[in-house]
Amino acid sequence: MTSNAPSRQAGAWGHRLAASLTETFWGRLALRMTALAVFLAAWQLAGDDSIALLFPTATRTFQAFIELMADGRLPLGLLITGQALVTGYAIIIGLGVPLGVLIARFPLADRAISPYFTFLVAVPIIAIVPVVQALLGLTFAARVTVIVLFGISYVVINSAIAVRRIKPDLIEMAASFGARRFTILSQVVLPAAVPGIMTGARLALGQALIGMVVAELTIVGAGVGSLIAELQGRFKVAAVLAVAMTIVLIGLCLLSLVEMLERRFNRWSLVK
Amino acid sequence: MNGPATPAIEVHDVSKFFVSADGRKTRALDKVNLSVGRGEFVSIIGPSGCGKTTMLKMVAGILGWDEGQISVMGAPVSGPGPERATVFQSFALLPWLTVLDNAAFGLKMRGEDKATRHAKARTLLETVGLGDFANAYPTELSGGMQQRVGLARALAVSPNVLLMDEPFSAIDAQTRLILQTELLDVWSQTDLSVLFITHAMDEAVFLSDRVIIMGARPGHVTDVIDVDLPRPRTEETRRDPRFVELTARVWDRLRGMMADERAGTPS
Ligand SMILES: Nc1ncnc2c1ncn2[C@@H]1O[C@H](COP(=O)(O)OP(=O)(O)OP(=O)(O)O)[C@@H](O)[C@H]1O
Ligand SMILES: [Mg+2]
Repeated sequence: MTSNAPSRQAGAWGHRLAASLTETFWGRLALRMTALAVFLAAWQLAGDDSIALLFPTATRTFQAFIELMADGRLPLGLLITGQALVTGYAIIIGLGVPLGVLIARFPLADRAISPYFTFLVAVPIIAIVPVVQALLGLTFAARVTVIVLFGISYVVINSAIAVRRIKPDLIEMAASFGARRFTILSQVVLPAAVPGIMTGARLALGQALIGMVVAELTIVGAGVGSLIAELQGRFKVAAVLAVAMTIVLIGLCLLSLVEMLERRFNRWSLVK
Repeated sequence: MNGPATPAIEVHDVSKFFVSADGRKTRALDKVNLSVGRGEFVSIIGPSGCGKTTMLKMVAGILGWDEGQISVMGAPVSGPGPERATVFQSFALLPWLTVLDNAAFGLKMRGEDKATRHAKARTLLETVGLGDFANAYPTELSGGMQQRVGLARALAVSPNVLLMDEPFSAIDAQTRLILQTELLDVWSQTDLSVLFITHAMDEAVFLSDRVIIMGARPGHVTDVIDVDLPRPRTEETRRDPRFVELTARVWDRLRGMMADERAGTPS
């Protein structure tokens, strides 16, 4: 009868430990650092540095990263690639939000332009990349275009849905106080649609990052794409991995930044 | 100039059609006549779908009509105007704005500068008992408090005519009785003319100088009942035999009309 008492105690203790690991900041940090350490150790063991061509260990990859940073090739590549990403993402937001609003508010615009964005979501964009290349060549504009094609439909569609979901009495309220069309748009429609627009912006960033990599690898310019191509040509496996992981890490940072913004804006209109 | 003899709201032979998706025209309102005198409190009561909201939106200037004339304070209605303000059933508060900014929203739409509209909105939040909640957000308030913000927003623009579409129907019964008394308090201190839509017969009688009864298919005015209860109306009024009698009379008219309708529809 009393034999299960200690194990029950241990169970309760384990419960409390789990709670303190997931519910406090330091607990979560400790959990993540441990996971990271385990991952790095496994990587270190899986890697083999005896021949340069084999899968590199964590330390060799990090060394390659330091070298690429030191000789300035990685920062330069990132800067050039980043320019395409920033330009593309700015176009995605700057063009996508107004198009979404237009589609939601004007049936004519809906019928005229909606099908293109439905098409962009449905079709694998990679299949269109050669067309972009044929039209624009191996240019900055071509890479930006690919990024825009990957991401814009998510912003357009989510903005349109968000605008359509606005309760009509909010618009009637503003109108009853004499607000004109443009004022209603800027003071009621857009703010009410912000959470939906942010969701679109987050999805679009994920797609834009994929678009950026695709553009880098297919439409080679002077960015990280050409750096990877050159390093690959010289069989610098560790350096290639270092560049790839840098891109992934930067992408993850950008995504969590946008996710944070999205959560923040979601709270403001937790409407009942 | 229009003398004080012109009513605050005058609706003359107004008809309204809606065109349904399949192109058929249905008559929503049929030659409606009603008027609200200056400083008068008038309620409209009627079955669901008889066109009460449609009527109110037309007076508010946010919905057009097909036949007849509507004028407010002696001038024909051709859109929203500074002499009118509306209170909505769903409160229609903007969740991203504070209570203060919500109360000031009407003034903002009217182009008032920030200092002026905040000062005015603060005064009205005091009036409706929400002085301490200026910096809260609407979702942090109860339904009754949210509608107080809606009322403050409407009153902040200093209207002559207040239009209210079932403002208390989403609010619990006890709070509703309190809000009725508060609304009469505010109204009695001003020269506001009120057009008030409701489904509650006791509410219509308690608040109004006159109760307009509407019927459906198509929407039309069937009866007008004068409420000769003394003012100010208090909790005592609700126990007054005359109040009970008038409420019963409104119910009789509504019930009679609904029975006629059922007899008239083959099914
Ligand atoms: N935009 C519209 N298009 C077509 N028909 C409409 C439209 N708005 C209202 N109607 C119709 O007009 C009639 C009157 O509607 P209204 O909303 O004015 O009724 P109501 O008396 O306010 O009803 P309730 O008591 O349920 O609020 C209804 O039959 C409704 O279906
Ligand atoms: Mg209605």
